[in-house]
Amino acid sequence: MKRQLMAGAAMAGVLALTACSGGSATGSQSEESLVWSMWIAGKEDQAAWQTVADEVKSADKIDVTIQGAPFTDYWTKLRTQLSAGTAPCIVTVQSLRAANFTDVLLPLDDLAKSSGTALDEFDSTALDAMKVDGDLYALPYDTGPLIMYYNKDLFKEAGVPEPKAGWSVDDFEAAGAALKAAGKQLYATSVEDLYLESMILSYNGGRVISEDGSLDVANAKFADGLDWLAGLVEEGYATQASADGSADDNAFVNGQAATFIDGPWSLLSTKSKATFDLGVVTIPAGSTPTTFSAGSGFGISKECKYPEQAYQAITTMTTEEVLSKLGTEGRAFPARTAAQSAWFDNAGIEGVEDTFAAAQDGSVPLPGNKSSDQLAQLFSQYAIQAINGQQTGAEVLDQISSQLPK
Amino acid sequence: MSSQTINSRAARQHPPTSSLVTVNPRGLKRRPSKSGSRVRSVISYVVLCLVALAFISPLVYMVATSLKPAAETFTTPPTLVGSAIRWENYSEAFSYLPFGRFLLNGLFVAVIGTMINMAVSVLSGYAFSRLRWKGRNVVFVLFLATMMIPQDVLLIPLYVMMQGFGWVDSFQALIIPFAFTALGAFLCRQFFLTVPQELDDAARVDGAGVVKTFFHVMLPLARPTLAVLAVFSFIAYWNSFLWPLIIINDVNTYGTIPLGLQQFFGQQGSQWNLVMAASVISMLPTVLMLILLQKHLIRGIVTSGLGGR
Amino acid sequence: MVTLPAAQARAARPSKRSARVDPNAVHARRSWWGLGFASPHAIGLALFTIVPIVASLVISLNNWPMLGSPTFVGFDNYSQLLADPIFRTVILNTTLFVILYVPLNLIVSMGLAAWLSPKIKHRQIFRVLFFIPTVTPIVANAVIWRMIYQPDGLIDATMQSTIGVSAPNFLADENWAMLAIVAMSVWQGFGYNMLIFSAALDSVPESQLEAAELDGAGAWTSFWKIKFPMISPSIFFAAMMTLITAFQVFAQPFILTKGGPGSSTTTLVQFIYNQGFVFQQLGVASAAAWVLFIIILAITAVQFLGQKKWVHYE
Repeated sequence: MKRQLMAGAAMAGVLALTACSGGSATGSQSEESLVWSMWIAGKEDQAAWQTVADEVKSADKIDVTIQGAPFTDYWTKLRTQLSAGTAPCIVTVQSLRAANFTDVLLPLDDLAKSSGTALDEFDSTALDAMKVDGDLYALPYDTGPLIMYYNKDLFKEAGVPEPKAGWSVDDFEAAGAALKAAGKQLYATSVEDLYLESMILSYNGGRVISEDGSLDVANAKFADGLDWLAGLVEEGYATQASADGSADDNAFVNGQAATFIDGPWSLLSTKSKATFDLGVVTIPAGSTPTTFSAGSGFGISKECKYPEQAYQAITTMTTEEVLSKLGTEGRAFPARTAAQSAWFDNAGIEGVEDTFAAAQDGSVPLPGNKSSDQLAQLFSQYAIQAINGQQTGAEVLDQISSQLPK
Repeated sequence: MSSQTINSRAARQHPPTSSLVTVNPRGLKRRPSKSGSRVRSVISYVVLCLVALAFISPLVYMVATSLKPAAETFTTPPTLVGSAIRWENYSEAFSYLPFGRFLLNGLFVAVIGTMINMAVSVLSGYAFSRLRWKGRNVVFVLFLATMMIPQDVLLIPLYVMMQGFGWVDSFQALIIPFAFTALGAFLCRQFFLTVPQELDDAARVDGAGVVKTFFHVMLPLARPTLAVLAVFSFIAYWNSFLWPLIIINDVNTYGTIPLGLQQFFGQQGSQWNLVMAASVISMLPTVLMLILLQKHLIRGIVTSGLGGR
Repeated sequence: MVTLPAAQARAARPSKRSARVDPNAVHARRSWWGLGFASPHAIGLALFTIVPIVASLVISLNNWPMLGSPTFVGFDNYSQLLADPIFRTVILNTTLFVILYVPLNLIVSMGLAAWLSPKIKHRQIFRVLFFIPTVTPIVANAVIWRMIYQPDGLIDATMQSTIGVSAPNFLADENWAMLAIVAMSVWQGFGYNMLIFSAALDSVPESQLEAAELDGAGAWTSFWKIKFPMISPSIFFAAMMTLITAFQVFAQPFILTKGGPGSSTTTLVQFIYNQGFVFQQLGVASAAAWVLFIIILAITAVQFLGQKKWVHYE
């Protein structure tokens, strides 16, 4: 009796699951139904991107199913999927990682020409960031310079004047001393590639990927930058580095550290989590303010059997209307010039436009490199040691560079 | 080497282990001075309770954190109870990722895998013990030898195989490759060797063939052994992490609990109260199983030599 | 309910003889039935264990990208591994983990098993309690410990508020990260061995212990002189299984440290995972897996040879 019951229950389970899964999502793509691979950072994030998918449904009659993964897993999963014959048609790529995926992504130039897309309406920096060797691999949806977020309440508490666009490293360190006196830390350290590299670029111009996209990991200036950060940690101005990618957001949102670096794309989510007054400012500069800019866009996998439909979908996903909406939500700083005002109007933060103008003036694109993903992984393991003062910046960069292809 | 494995396993099965489940009163009577030993045993008991408390504190901390408001997850000094008990953390964790789906997937994979494992094991265990056939011992030694192969060595070829079958991102890939462990055959064989010969003879006198004897006489007897196998198989499937991590890309459709939890951690790493709520959810099924089936489980470990896993 | 364990104990001896004459195998004429009964399992095992282990060797001799066709390269992958300083570090890390973890696991499990003697009240409850982390998902366990170890986590906050000193940043400090992982692994992993030892200790005959007591042996002496030799087969087996699984450690460092800081906690299986699924080099990954296999085989063989010195079969 028991056995029959168990068998019955198992059968019911099988039926229920087959009924509600209907096989692999990516396996069942069709002209009217495509899968879109996207990194998702929270519930609000999911909902916001769902509205973009809904837009495609109503405009093009194509069902777009979002397949989300956290950013840290996204690239590994995407790689395996693109190689395993279960590729989603629509793939979100970050400008600095586009070069990693040229072998599996479809160049879009022909499709853009044949469907008459007005590419010149995109922000030229954003569009150029999606090109590798002159071929376009994605339609950009966002772009923007890396900026520094700060906690206005903490600055006030410590009696430090609020930072202004273009503030210097000296101002930054002075604020660190004042905050330390008030029992707080100035900076939430991150070893994630974009944030770490932007912080050091602004400090002394050191960079590990040169303008032409080639690796220069053993860069002496970058090593100095790491040592500078180590000094901040030692002074007690900055939090210790951690392999946990969310440690910096965590320290900032909890009010433990007064500043951290992120892109404009995080404005809304950070604002919703923060229980204090949020401000944004340029990254403190050693000499002239400068920062990296990066962006993301939607591409099409080579394996996709329905490239025309997929192209139709990504065109809809990057229309001025959709991007304005994303801008209004603070989800993305739009990659279309005409939609950018929506972001400013709704940021709800005083002085954000000036900060942005200043940051953008000094911003340079962060070019991609085939090893950029490996580099990011190595940073998360090794840069920690430099910043926490266990090794010098030069030693660490030496070890990283020995593990990357020459 | 494998015959020695059998020896060592056989040797460890000598002890009559029924005393495991019932408290054995021995030892109470061989104490020279009663009062001295009582004091000592009370102290020992108190220390044991403290050790157990320290041991369990991470789990207590987990449950406590899962009920705190977000802003109070890190406090100095650490607190057990926040300013409010937030049961909402659980519903938030649930609504954030399809944890219901993960639970269902995990159950589905574990139940189906376990059933396959039980079915093939009881058949082969029977064949290895009570049926004689050519090559039996060679095949059995081969079975035992596969137990020495670390599963991680199989990851890459299994992945390539799944790619070939078109099984990447599928329930089959989660279930099938690990449903044929030699351990099940070994357990069942050991059991069938203990069944008295007279039962077969009686069945034969009644005119029952091999199949009928197996289903009507042997299978019902093997139930307790199968229960043990089922529990182990279930737990192994339920907790499996590395293989699903490799073979499942579409986590929201095929994800099991460990994978879902890892994904949740990746996305919500800064919201520790929610992460802890999700961890509590992920632990409930097997902890419940442990409490309900502790006797089977403990006996299974003891009789099968499943140590060190 | 059938009293299984006792019955199994009785059966253990015949199983040794089964290689020659098996009195239980009565259905001598039914040769085909035996094959039929065993074949579903045998086919499954062949397909998903034996074929893969052979395939793994073949893959390791090829340059086998995840996408595209493989090319035969002989032992290049192996020589590449042996020349790779990171691979050496990874082997050392894994060995360090094993050296720390296995003895600790055995000591803790043996200690608790001896402590939880039958005269302890509610020993069943204690056993279940100590067993909980063993049956819960290792990912969940690791996540909890991440929160305990990190700055401002449970240990750090407790130390700050009691003795006013910050705890080390366990997971980001080269000197602590591996120890932190070992501690967490022992916490979650000793349950099985504890139960096995506990059962083995229960089975030591009362008469022998009483005889020893009459001879004036204390608890310590009677443990080493009587109990230990009698349960040595259990210890041997548990030690071997623990060793094999310890070499395959993955989830704990993967969740707690991602292999860092530096590569101080990158283990062999994580190396295999990275090579195979992050860098897409299935050939190199397979070669590393074979190195793991060979290490495990070698150590198992050494253990079997060494067991005669201390393992006592009746």
